[in-house]
Amino acid sequence: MDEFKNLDKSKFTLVQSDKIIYDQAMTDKPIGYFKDAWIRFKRNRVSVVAFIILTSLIILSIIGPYFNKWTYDDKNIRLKEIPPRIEVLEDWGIFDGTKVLENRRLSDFYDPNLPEGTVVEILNNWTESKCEGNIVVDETGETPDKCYAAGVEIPFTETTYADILVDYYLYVNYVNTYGDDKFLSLTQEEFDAVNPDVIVGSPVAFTSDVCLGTIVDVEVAGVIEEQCHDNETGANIGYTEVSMWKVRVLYWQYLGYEEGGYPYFWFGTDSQGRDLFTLIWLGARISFVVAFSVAFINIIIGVILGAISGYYGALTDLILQRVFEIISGIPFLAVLTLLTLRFGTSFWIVVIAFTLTGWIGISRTVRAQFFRYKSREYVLAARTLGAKDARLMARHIFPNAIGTIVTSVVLIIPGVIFTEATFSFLGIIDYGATISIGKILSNGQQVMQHSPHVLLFPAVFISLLMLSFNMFGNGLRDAFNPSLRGVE
Amino acid sequence: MVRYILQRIGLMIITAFIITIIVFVMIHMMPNFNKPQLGIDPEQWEIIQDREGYNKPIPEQFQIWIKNIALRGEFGWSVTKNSDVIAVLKDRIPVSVKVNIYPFFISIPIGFSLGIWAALRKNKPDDHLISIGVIFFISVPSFVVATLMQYYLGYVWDLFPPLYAARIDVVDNPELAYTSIVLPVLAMTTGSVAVLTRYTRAELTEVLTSEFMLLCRTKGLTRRQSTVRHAMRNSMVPLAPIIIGGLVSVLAGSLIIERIFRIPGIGGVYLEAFTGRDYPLVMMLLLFYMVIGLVTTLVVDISYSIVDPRIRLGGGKK
Repeated sequence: MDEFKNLDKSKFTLVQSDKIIYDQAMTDKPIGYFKDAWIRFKRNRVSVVAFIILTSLIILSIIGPYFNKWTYDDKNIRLKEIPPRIEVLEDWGIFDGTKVLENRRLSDFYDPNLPEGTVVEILNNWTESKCEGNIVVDETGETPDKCYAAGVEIPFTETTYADILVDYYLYVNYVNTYGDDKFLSLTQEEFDAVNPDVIVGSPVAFTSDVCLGTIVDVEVAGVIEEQCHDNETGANIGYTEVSMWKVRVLYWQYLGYEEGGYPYFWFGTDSQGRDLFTLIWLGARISFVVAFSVAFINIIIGVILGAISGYYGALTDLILQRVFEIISGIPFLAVLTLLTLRFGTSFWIVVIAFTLTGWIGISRTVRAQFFRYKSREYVLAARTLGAKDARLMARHIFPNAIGTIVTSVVLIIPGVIFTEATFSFLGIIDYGATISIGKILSNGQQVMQHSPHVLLFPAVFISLLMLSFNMFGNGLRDAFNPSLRGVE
Repeated sequence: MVRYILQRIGLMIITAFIITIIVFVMIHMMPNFNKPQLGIDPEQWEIIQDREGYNKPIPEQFQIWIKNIALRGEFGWSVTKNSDVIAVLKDRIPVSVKVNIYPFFISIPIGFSLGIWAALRKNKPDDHLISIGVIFFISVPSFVVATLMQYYLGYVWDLFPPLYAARIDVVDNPELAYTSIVLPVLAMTTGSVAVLTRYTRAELTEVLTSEFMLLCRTKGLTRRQSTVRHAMRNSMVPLAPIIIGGLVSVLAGSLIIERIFRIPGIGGVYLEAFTGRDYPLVMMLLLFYMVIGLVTTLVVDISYSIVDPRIRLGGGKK
């Protein structure tokens, strides 16, 4: 140490001595709270990816339904449960529109009308013997069972069954053309409009009783009876006899496709013959709209009540807290059930059900923040300068709560989507004509044994949505509250 | 302590009473509440109406309802089930408990061990793997997990019966009673394991990074001693109440799982009552859910204050 004590001054030279040194002006832009959070958020790659996926899902829910020509109302029961078929991917053997038909009579698939290439593979087959009459069992077991019909012994009929992998688009065409009872019943006008090239075999004329107005249920002498009423006057006009045609048509071509051509249902169709791709984005739309409106309303109510409760404290706080406690004791299920039973399920009823008790979480967070900051010196200083309560709350205390609010909003939204999907899966939320993801899933669950795609696509969608929301939420929470990072 | 518990119980009873009145009034104001349901014998309807006071004003109906509970233990007549609602509940609760109790007990050891493992191996590959699993099973809705399990394990690979076996089937085939609850139990276990793992990991990492752990090591304890004796004990404090609360809600069953696997438990009967518009039964079940919810919160709060006295001291509202 000693050698540093007596240093020779001549060894030092001044850098400069003729100017006054000022602090350098800041060349960088100031980093505010949000910018800081954004920088931290960007560093978390998983969250950024989640955010991108989330944004694309939201955008798709807006424009997705217009990607193809089908709409919600295009239902055609003849096209139900068609498996998915996607351009390009079909050449790789996935999403190629094939489907396994289980337990079918094999002989049906040797029909000469069945187009070439419909049967892709016969997976396995087995033969069952069946007696058309009565089986007589020999008690001694010496001779085999015999089959009798009208007193005459007849042989057992043997049928071969099989699980068959078919190109379902061709198969649908075939069934709707040649299947039993699959002919079209057309009026004279409709029949004339059909291109004669697509008609198979000879059309059959018949007459039918048709209601030209609307069918109305009327109670006549205690019995409910269907009557045909005129659309304008409402008078009972009875049924009119109309001549009709029974026609068999080549179905895809009847629907307007070129010969040998047929459509691509990217995600297949549901059990009512609607395009699943369109349905999923329509369902996503309602989920997002419900979730965003609920989050918006909850924030407003929660912030106002939380601020009042936290800022004024004392008796106001005590009373409000008791009220909150009672409200939060009501199960959400009860609120939803009572409202839907009383008012039916419409969009607004669902939003109200979510908001009636949903704001309590936010109001608690806001109240805690207000408790923490209201007695700080800077608040006292502002009050001394003459700031009114409202200004103190909005300008000086509330900004402290923004970080926690942003974080909790990002957790509220997936929570609402999750709950909405769950209850519409259960059938408690049912918008009637509007589809929701939960409803598609619940329909899919009923048909999943033979048409799993109706279940799988919405399941993948909702899982992806919830996953990316949670990842995004975690990233956002870390960005806004860096002290929490790594704890969870 | 006793004073605190009594105070909380008193508050809970008041809350329960107020909510009961709200639910009762709402249910009894339904537009078609006291119209006879389709297919009911008019004479029987008359008797029910008379006994429940359906044609009297609502405050009087409430008095009659309370009187029926106090005198005869009757909570209302379910027309669709043709019995008293409390009998329906008694019938269904055991089914729900039977299916729910297994996931509860299975998930605790698994969740704990995974959480502890992840916390001790923080930021190593196995921690990341566990964390990915946790975030997956927390994010993906339970009805998706359950239906996919039903589809793959039940139908495609044919490992377990896809639906809960009804009583009649069990008579013929006794082992169905065990195999048919495997899928619902499995579906519920994944979710609660994920939640438990997450909590355990979060609590334990927080304790492990706190300063007294450094003290433990500096005073000469090995890593193992300090973890087992100090860190784990402390991290169990917030977890115990969550588990105790879970035990209460075992009673309530699960709407989703019971609907998917057709389990005739509380959740299943609730959906039946809802679709059948069986108002007395709906009301009873809502009150049941409310009581379960309130008791769970109460039990959680009280057990918090027992295991961690700091909460009782600092958490007083006044």
